[in-house]
Amino acid sequence: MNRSDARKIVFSAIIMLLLSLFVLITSALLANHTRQEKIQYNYRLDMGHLIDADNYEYFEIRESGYGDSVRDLFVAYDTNRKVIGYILTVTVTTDEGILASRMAISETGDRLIAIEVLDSEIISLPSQDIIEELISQLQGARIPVALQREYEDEELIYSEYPSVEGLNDGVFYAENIDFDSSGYKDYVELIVKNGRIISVVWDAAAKDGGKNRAQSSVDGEYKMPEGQQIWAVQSYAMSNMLVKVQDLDKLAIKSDGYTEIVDGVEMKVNVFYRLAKECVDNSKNNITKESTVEETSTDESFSDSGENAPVPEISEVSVADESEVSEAAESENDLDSEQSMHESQSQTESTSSETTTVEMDMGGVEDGVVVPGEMGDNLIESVDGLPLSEIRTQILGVDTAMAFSDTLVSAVNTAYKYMRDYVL
Amino acid sequence: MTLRPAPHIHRKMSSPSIYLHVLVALIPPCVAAVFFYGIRAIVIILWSALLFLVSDRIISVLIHKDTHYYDISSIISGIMIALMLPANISMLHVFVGVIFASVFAKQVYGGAGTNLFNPALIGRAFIEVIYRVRDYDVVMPGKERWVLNTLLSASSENLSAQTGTHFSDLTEWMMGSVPGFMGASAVLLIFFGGVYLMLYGVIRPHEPMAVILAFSIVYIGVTGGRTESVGLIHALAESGVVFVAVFAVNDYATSPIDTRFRFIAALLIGIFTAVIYLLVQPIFSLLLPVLLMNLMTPIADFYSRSKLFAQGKEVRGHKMTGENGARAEEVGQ
Amino acid sequence: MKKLSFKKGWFPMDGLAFNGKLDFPREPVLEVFSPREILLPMLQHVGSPAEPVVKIGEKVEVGQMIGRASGPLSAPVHTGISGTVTGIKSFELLNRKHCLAVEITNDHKKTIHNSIRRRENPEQLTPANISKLIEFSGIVGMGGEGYPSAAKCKRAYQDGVSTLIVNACQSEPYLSGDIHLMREQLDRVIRGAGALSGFCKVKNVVFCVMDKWLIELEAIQDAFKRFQKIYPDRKFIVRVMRSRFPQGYERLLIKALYGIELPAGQRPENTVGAVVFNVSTCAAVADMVEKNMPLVQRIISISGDTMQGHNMLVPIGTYVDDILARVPGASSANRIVMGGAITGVCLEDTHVPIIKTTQGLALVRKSDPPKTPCVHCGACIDACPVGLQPYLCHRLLEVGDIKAVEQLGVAECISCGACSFVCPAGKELAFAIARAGHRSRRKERS
Repeated sequence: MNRSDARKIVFSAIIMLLLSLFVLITSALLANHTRQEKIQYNYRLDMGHLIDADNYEYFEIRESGYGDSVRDLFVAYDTNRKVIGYILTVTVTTDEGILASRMAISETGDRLIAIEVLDSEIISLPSQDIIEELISQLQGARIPVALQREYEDEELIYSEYPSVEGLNDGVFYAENIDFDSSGYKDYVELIVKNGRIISVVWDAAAKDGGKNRAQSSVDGEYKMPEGQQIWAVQSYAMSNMLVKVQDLDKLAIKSDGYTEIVDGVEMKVNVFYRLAKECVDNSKNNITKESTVEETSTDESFSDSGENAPVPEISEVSVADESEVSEAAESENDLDSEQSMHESQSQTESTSSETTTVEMDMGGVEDGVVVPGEMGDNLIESVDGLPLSEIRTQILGVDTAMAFSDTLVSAVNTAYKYMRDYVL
Repeated sequence: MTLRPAPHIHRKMSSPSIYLHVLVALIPPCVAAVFFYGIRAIVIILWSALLFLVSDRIISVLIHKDTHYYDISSIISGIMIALMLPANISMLHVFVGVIFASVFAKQVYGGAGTNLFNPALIGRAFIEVIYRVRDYDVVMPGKERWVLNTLLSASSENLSAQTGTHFSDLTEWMMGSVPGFMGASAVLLIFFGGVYLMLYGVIRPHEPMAVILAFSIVYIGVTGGRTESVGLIHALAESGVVFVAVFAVNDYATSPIDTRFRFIAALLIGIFTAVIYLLVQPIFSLLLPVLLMNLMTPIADFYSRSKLFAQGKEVRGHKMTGENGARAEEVGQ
Repeated sequence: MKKLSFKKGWFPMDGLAFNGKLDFPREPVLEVFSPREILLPMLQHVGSPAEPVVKIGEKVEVGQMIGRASGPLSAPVHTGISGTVTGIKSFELLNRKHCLAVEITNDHKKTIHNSIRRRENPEQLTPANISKLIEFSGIVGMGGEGYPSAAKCKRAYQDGVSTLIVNACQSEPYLSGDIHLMREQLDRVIRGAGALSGFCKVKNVVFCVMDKWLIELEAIQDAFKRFQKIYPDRKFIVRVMRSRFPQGYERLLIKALYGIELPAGQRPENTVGAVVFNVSTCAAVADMVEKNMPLVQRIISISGDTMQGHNMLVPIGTYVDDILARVPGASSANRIVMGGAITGVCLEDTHVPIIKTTQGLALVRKSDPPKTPCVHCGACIDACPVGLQPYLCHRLLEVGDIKAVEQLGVAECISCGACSFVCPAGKELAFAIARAGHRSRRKERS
């Protein structure tokens, strides 16, 4: 190769450079004026089935706490430039793989308009039917959602914790005879299906007909001693443990009314034991909720439970019951009185100083945000870091694809949290 | 006065000039990459090319190879790796891919001309395997592309994907504004490069045409009437098949030396690319078929025997007068 | 007219002299060169060397026999100048063979030997007469083959060939002597071909010319019409070949004309019934038949990338350095190549004589192409006219696997040099493969 060849090559290189620049700039000029329209057209092609909007606006996500999981966010506007919804792409990484889904959430941030599965790397991807069924369960649901847990590891739980003999199917109910010192009347509702307890609800009705205890604890009005979970969480944990172990005796409630085997439950639970026991007995005797509610005035069931208690320790518990309850009430007395004093105020004006203090006391649990590493480890019975009390919808899921259902639910909840924290 | 055996003249085309021509043909896709992805694209291309060159050079010196000439093919491989990457790739990833390509795909086999696989594709595949580049598909920095700051801030996390934001504009697709690769999707500009190479006789037109035709036929056949009119162009751009057709299928060292086998390989590559493109991510449709061909090349070369003159057989029985005489007359008229 | 050719080979797109830039064969006037002294080797042909019949100090005249044919496959040698024999010495030819050589110093008088005179009726010569004349003239295949034409004619006559092919495809770049003859001295060529065809008793005379480059087909057809009257029993045909290298090779010519591929070692005479003569040979035969002038001078093309080329008429035996002293661009050449630039021999010492088979001198300034490893491009496969895989043969020869190379058919190699010409890596494929092919053929024969 000599100099003239080299010159020729350099010359052709320059020609190629200029030619490509010319073509690129020409095409850019030809194409640029409709760029926005084209983008919108593509957006509509892409997302029209989720939410039909006039205009979509893309927001780049930087520096969000959900980093990888929430990938991008579109805001959908109608013709009047009013927000009609949000579209988020959420990837959830589980032990089994990555699931990417895209969902439309209403402008209020509490309802799932539509959801679709984009791309899944879950090892056992369920069939299209299952996905569609799940989506149909989720579509239109209020969020956050949770799965009904009864399907979780059924086989394992069944074998480890066999059902108690002699239970009849149905809904069973038991409640305290009277309101306690804090003005609540505890009740337990128990659902038995196929001889197994599948649902337990422990709550307490307020004397004045106001909010239940669980709700008011979530709202920060009913307080627990410092360092404990709110009441609703503990009650849920207790109920869920019963669903899991089936047998009340396995809860191992000690004579002082505390239990150690249920994580996160630090309050006295003997009331729960007593009422649950009553429900179990009702079930054995096939006294359903309707009949129970009718005869609540009698204390027949209470005395029955006391007599029939199989374990001596527990009979002690039931004997010591009333004093325990009063003790618990005493410890909560100050807060309760203060709470009742400011009840109306805090309900109406969320900006009052007292409420702010309360919020600080609750350490962030109040609004459901779980700060990883602080509280999250204790919140066993939270769903995706959301307290159960916050759950608006429980869906059944698809029992043949629980892992997938779980992942999809978790994606929805991630989107909910993201919306709540960063968008609304 | 220098003595050497015959012949004493030589055609103009030599290895360095071939490589220089390929380098020139790579200019248009590079321009497209820079046009769409800005200063970051320049830096990635230069970084990749320089790295490949230096790595090859160092290894040549280390193993005391004859290094009297500069191996321009290193620069080509470096640029090709860069063009097949998304613009938001980090420099470290490029570094790892290029070093792997240079050492394990090229120099281990004995350097340019003796490598089994196309080093550029191996380097790209390695980056894919290690870093799963497809997780962050594409980035269109917009006006930011000329801001120097993007060099520092545009790491893989921050410039996150903007899925589905491609434009339904034929011209822009042909220019390379398709998610995926910096330059490997600039169909029209790669086509310019290909035409340049064909004009200078570096590549034959047969193979690129075979690849693109086979791809188009299979793609249209499989997708049927469901594709829009621009669907094929988009597929051509997104799958990177044109890039492969021009720059990889005709890569001398890694394609069958026999032109018939090369043509068959090109057809198969087109079909495989279409199938794989329809099934999995585009990056695999770009890499897999060619790497498969590279794997089969030694076998094809082993079985390729060109037709030997006279095939060693003796010619007998041609009578002088009758047949051949008449024949000569025939042609003479 | 349909253009014929063989497969593969290469079109000399960027070769020299094909691109029309060097149009020196257009020059109608040849430079006639009268050297100071000449050296006539006794072996300028295939076969046994001639025996000198002169003594030192003897006066010789133009056309006088210097060496006598020594056997059936031999050719006499004549002098092209008049002067004094100044020496008879041993001389090493370029192919490393040794023979005697006669040195004659020119007296610049150009005294013609008395046997040289114009023949009145050359058409009336009987085949026996022509045979004697050709045998005496010392004509050999002037396209580089060097086979004594008399022996070739006799062989063809015995084989009873039907066609005489005049090979005017000087396909090699830088050489244009044959093309000059076809343009400017067409009558002489046709007369020579007519004499040869009379001797071989053939009916068809086929002229093979390349399709471009200064060949005027109409002129050739016109000439044929004129000569049809002189040779009424012969049919003159012109056939056009595609201009690609190496079309001029005998086997490739047969392939192009008949579509028959001759294996190495087989002659066209007893297979397709054709005998091939070079244009220059025909012209020399015409000289002998018409003027009784034996082969004492020939046209050589001097060209190259350092100079404008031209054709020269030089006495056989002229020293190369004598010629180069006359050529303006010779000093800047890196290599002096005797023969064509592709198949010729690079001269170490330019004090060697031009012999009967020398077609030209090429002055090459171009440096070697850069040497790189094989890039596996397959250009050599596409170029090889006999269908070898030169890159593979070369690699196998490098590792010394002669057997494998022979199985690949290296014996078919015609040493045309096309593979080396096209190789972008600058490998000297042709040299190694041609040598291996030569050895293989010799092994087969023995």
